[in-house]
Amino acid sequence: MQPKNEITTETRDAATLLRIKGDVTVFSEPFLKEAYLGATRQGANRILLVFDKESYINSGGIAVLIQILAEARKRSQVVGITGLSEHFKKIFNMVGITKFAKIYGSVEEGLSAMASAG
Amino acid sequence: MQICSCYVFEGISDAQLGRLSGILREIRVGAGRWLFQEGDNGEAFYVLLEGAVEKVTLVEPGFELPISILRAPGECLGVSALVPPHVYSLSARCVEDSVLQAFDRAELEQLIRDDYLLGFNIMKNLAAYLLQRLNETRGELKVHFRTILQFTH
Repeated sequence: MQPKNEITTETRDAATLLRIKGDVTVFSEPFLKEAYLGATRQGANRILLVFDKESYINSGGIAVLIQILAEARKRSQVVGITGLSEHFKKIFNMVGITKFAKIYGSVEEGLSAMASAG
Repeated sequence: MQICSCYVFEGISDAQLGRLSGILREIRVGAGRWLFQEGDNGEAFYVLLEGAVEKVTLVEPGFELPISILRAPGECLGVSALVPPHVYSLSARCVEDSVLQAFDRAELEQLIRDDYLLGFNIMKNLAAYLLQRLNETRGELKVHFRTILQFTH
């Protein structure tokens, strides 16, 4: 049985937070896409992806995230990421996700930086 | 020692499980230690009892791609040892102090030579698992290509 991701959406400081629980794999695609497209339909142009520090993000999960980031770039949305463990910050840096989305140390840091990004 | 229930041994009789328990070794591996590395000869396969083990593959020197993390008792790793060319296709590292049951390939092969039905069941279970992994990998490829299409169209 494939695991489901629980993703909650919240609006704060003109940004939309997508809080993602559970491991992120290729099976997360429908959940992440639905959450992202739902936020987009609501007019979100600043999106902060908030991961659970215990979450494991495998190669499939990374692929899904890159797909969403590519779509966000086409829509000129600003995307930030927070909640990653040091292990995954390093991996995200290595695969170049930081070219599409900045990684922040906390939700507050992300919201503050994204607000001043305009 | 009782065998931890895992998909590789599904459908196997109590008598067969008894013989398998005769060849298992319980091992303890500390956090941060490698259980095996990609490309090593596959001398054993393992069933997790406690702890957590991460499976990774080396993309280029210094960059390991995360494949999965095993946390639940009964999760298996090192099944490449059971299939020619008996070379581990991924690396496995304990991310917590872990306890595993190890099954030596040579001893398992001997049990299978003595009981082909045991071998049939193990391979049937392994084939189902590998098909699932293949489908997952195909799903991942599709995601990559959808991303590529976003840039090329």
